[in-house]
Amino acid sequence: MLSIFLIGCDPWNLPGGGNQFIESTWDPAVVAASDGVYVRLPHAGRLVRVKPDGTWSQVDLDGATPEKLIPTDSGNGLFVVASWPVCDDDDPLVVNVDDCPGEKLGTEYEVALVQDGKRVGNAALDGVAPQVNAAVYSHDGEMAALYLDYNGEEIVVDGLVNLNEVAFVNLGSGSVNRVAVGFAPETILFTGDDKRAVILSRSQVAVVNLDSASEDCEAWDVCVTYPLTLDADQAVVPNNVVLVADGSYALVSITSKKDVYVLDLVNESIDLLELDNVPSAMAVDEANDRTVFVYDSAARIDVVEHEFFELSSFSTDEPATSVVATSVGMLAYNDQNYHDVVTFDAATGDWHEQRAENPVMELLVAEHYAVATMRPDNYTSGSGTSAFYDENYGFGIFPVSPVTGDDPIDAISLVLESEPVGLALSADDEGEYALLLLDGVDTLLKVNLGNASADEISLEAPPIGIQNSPDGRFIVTGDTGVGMLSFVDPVDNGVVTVAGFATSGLAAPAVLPRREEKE
Amino acid sequence: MIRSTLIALLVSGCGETSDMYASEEAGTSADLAEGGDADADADADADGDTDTDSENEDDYMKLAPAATDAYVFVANPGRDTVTRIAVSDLAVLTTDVGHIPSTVQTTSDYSLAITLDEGDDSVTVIAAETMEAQSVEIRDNMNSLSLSPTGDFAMTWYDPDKESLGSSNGVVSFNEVSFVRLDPPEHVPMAVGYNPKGVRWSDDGKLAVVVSDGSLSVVDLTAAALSPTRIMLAEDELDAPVAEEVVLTPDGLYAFVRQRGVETLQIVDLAEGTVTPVDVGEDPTDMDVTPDGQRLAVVARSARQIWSYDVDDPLATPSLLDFPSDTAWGAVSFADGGDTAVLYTTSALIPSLAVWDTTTDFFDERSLIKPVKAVALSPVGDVAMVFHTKQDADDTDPSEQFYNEWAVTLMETDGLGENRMVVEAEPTGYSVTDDDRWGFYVMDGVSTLEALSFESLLPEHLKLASDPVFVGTLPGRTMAWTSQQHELGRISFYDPDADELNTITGFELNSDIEH
Repeated sequence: MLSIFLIGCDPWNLPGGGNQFIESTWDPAVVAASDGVYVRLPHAGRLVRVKPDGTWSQVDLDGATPEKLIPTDSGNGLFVVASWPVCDDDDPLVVNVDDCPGEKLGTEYEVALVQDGKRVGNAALDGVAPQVNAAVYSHDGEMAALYLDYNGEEIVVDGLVNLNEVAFVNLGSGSVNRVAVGFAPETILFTGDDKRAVILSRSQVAVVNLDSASEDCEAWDVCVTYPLTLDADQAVVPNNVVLVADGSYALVSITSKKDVYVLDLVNESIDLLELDNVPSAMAVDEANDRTVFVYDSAARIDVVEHEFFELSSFSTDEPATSVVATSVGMLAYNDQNYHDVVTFDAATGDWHEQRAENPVMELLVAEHYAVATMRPDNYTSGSGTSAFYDENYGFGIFPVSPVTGDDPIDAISLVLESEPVGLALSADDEGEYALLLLDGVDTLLKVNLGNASADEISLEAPPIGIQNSPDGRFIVTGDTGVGMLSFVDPVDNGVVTVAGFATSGLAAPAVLPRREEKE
Repeated sequence: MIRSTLIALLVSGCGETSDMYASEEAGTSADLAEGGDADADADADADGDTDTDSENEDDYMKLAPAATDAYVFVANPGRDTVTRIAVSDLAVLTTDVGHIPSTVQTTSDYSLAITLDEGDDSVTVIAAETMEAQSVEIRDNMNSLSLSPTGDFAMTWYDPDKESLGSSNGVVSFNEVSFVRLDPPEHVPMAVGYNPKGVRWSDDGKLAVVVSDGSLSVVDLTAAALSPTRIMLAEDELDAPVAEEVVLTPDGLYAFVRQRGVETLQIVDLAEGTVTPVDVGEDPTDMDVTPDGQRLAVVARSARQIWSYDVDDPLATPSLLDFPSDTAWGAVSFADGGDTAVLYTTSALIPSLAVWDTTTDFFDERSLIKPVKAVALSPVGDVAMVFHTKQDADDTDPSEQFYNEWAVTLMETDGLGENRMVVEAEPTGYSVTDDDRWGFYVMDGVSTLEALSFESLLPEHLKLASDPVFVGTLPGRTMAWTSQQHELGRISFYDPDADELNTITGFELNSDIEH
């Protein structure tokens, strides 16, 4: 067992150098909630809540070890998948895990909703499978849908695993309603009024009623199931789903297929759109009541209006892999080997393009700007300035402007010192900003998107991640063994750093929990 | 009147070469009074049609949808359902019917859709608005369905020449038919003459005449207990000449029977049960009642004459009208609501037709670019869609632009306007709108719907997502529909006034939606 006093030689790291021990002492995949930042301490088997006032405290999980943290959308707590050791030996002398004969030692799992530093109801959620790893939230933030989004990761099979189930959890009361929705749910959407959930599973789409006042369908029942194939031997795997603005239709794209299913959620019927290519992304333009499709295999943007679902096609210069909505239209870009960032008016089909110097890694959209981190371009053989850009990571600022026929404002491309490891946006009365973390650099770059000037906010250690906090601040995780979080105020650039919380419980013995309950 | 069309073109072509059927009348959309049967007569194929032969697909796609003014109904034999597609918003509803619904038809008042369910020997009656369905058992192995014009009755029978989609393995009878009273569904089986070929209904729906080899069976549909009264047309019904066409007078008092190879017309007094042969010209090849219901016109091809009988007094001496030339036309088609008919032939490569003004008996002979495969008249008869054979007349110059090409001519019958068009492939179905403004056709293996304006005589090409199978128009509306090949079902609706083509794809999936 690691001892805390060994830390002395380096105030931020445990012996051994680097951050190789981080995962054993603390998990930098922290969860920022409105009441603090929750951090999993794998080695100690604890969950701690760190507050911006510099304090931290352990969350009582009744002796269970947090295995996985699932944030809530609203920041109102988090879901914790936890395990605890059980010993099938009633000998009162068996107290610690080490006391239990190996053949009698086992593990049980549960899922808890944690708010304000404690489990809601002081207990685990009733019947929620510990294999859940994904959550989707209603628009009002009061309901969560928990499910297993299988992505190849190792799944602990405790008895049996139900791959057909979604657990709806009321975030206020912790009450749970489990609904069988079809094999391997992939994606869940709540309708705009939060009265129904649209759940994509293999070869079918289920609509679950969440409204107890509904006369058409019982609450927590699958009201309607839409088949995606009539051939039981054919597996149709949904890839993405969007809801039109009024929630009356869901559009479902299919993995490796050109078909897009149009599900009429009101009249409960199905139509099929056949595209000329497999769409790489789709997004709803709510202002124009249209859905926009882009393709990584075709330099074209397709638009479907939502009345008769007629398709219109518009040629562009380059394929795109992603499309997002902005305040003035849709923004299509490519995170593979192309450079165009296209602002597209779905109503008219007009578009203008800006140029990213390097291929996009991550793109975020603010009110007046889109920003992107960019990776070195290994596929070009430019010279001069272009070659310089190509060799380095970059950061692009793309002013967002309506497609009027005039040329768009040119994008600004900045060269980065190292690989970007975190990107977030903030805004105040003065302007919009990007917060940028670079690998191995112990400062946070705050870039004014209006003039591309950057302030450096010093950090105590090289950062490894950044995320938004519900209170408007940003949480930067530092590369230290004992745990480090920095609460960054994007308004005044103030930084509060809290470190050392990963030592919590390190020296505590591994006690067998819940023994009295068992008796 | 159901305007679903289909197949009418192949139908006439097959008729020309069939050994069994010598008639050369081509079915037109206006002739589809028998619920999708392209014949004007009682039997399913007595015009020489082979109605089920036009499509090669061996799945449900060959089943013609049925239309009302608001909906199109599609039978899904693989899933034992019928899908209703609303034209207004393409909303889809599906209901369960019997096993393997092979045919769907709608009643003339559009209130009911009827399926013949071959897999479990039943007929299902579906309320068009509510989609509530009731099934009733019928006799085994029926594979054909006809609805009375008033929508009160259906009759099913076994047609040995027609493919069956399901078999109950029960008794196969060659004398049975099943009448079904539709509201509420009630089955009345009966034995009729040998090898029933179909049924003719009187316009008022009070009488049914079942056509068999060598006999007619008359059924009074107003009787409390239905029973057939047989009228023999030949002494030996097992060796009787085939009744190629049977036409009832609108009042249901008489039936006219044209038999293959018989140089007389049989006039049947249905009330008295008597059969009186009357003279008809040499080689009678087609007959039709005029739209006003007053005359029966019989084309005597070899005599180059039209024999015209008074429907009210059929035994009176017929009037004769000579062809305007020595051309051997053998078919006549009347416009639904007008004074125009056309004479043409599909049994010989003759590139001409004659427009017949029935009020003056004046013939306007027109030369055509190619021989005729089928003719469709607009409802008032002022425009004709002429579908040509690919094969040319014997003396055609190979350098002609239409030589060895499929072609369509859109022509005014009351004027000189024409539009002659080489088309990409063989037309396989057509229809016209009730308002006399548009005609539509589809071609084999070409993913378009062709719309022909009867006003401008100009075509419009509507690109479809896949190859069309059937085309039709909605009764009372300026709207065409075309079903298309797609494993999950596809149908498009075209409004030529708004120039809107709306398509729903995958509606077969709707049958598996679990509510």
